[in-house]
Amino acid sequence: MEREMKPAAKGALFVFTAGCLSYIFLKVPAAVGFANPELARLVTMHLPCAYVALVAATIAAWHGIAYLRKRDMASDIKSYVGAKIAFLYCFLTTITGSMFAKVQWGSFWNWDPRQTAVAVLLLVYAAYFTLRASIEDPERRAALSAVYVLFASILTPMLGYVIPTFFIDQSLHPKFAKFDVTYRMAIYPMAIALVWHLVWMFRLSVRAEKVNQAIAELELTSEGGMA
Amino acid sequence: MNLLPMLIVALMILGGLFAFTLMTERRIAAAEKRLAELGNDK
Amino acid sequence: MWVKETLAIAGKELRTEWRSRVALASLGLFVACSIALVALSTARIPLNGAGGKEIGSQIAAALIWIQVCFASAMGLGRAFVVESERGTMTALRLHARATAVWAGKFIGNTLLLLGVCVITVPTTCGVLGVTVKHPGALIAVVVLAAIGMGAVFTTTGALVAQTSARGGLLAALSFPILLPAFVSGVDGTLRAIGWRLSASAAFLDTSGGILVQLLSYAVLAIAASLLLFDAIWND
Repeated sequence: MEREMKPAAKGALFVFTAGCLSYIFLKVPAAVGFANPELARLVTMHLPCAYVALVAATIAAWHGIAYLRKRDMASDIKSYVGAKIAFLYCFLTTITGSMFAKVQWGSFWNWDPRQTAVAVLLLVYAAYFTLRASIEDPERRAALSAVYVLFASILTPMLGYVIPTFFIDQSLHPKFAKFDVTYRMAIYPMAIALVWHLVWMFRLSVRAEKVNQAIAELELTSEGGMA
Repeated sequence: MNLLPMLIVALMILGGLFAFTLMTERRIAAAEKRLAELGNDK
Repeated sequence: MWVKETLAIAGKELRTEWRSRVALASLGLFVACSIALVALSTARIPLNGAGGKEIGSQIAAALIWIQVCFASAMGLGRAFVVESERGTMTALRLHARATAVWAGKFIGNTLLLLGVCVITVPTTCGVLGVTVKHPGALIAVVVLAAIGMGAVFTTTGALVAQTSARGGLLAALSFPILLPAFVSGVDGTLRAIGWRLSASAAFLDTSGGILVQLLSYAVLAIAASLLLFDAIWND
């Protein structure tokens, strides 16, 4: 069984997150130079989500490699959960980004290179889940999805950062953004809060996945026994 | 006033994350109970 | 020894293909049809008018690589599927090292992909009235991109051959991975055509970086595939 997060830690996480949120809304100033300076504060949600997606992708890759080396099914579950969380945060990054785009650039979706690249990234993870669904044998599924999740995790920073920054010239996104200290003081703690939450969610989801698999197995054998 | 939409968005995302994890915790507890019962039946 | 095994597998791959010509024929037909569609759908665009060259080169660069991607997704997945349908996978596992199998299939796939490019590139350029300013550079772009894409398709093809989905999944698994090569390929093609470059500019001075991008993509794709193929193959 995975170690569970203690109630005190959960409380602390809650307070910390609430603190980050109040800092964003009470202290962070409006950003001059944007179409809507007030709502430029959205980056303090948008960027942390992107960072956490990267962290989750790294977790998925790490456990994918671990599976290929040791062939332990527990690593497969962890890698799968990591990929799920990476997908979730890619999605949240897209959502917050698209709201930012609406208030600043006038439309929810502009086909900006980075938006397109992240849309493709969502497709990569969707392909990963389809791949998993299309293989019956658990060990083969684990091995093949471990291989694909490595590609997915390499692509996460590539599509999210490297290609839109260095390979394509025109973009609405800033290239090497230098944030004001007040913004950095909001972005990094929020990223910490989300990573902290990720640890909690990761352990829980791994536990859930294990229990579900065990139940499915038991049900399968008991049905076989009845027939 | 201008910030209200963003406050809603932020609360929805963070609240959603917390609600999701807390619900998962509940579900796991139930599933683990079920697993134990299934194990006893065998 | 490894080279021998690789060449034997590549040779076998090409010989069986040459005997039936299934992939070649279907790819040729696919490319011919898509060229016809390109010609029809761009008929209203004034390619000979003012700014026509500009539009023509942009459309050509994009369409060439879209066609290559879709043609490859149709034709290149077959290598491993055929193997598992014939039941020859086990024999191949016994007689050759995993990396040699990969390399052999990779050579076969890349040659097929280059074959597609040889038809697609000149015909698309011809249909859209594009004159290529740096033919040598265009060849370099195409060859490097084909190597990278061939490597990716060989690995994803092996993945898909072991699933129950096969056909449709290959495109879904490969296209996102191909995106970097696709972006650089389109960019490189545009520059080789001479889009927005002064007439006297040498290709390497202005656009050599794109060749480096494509080369590093190919090297990365090959290295990752060789490292990971063992896990796909021996399972």
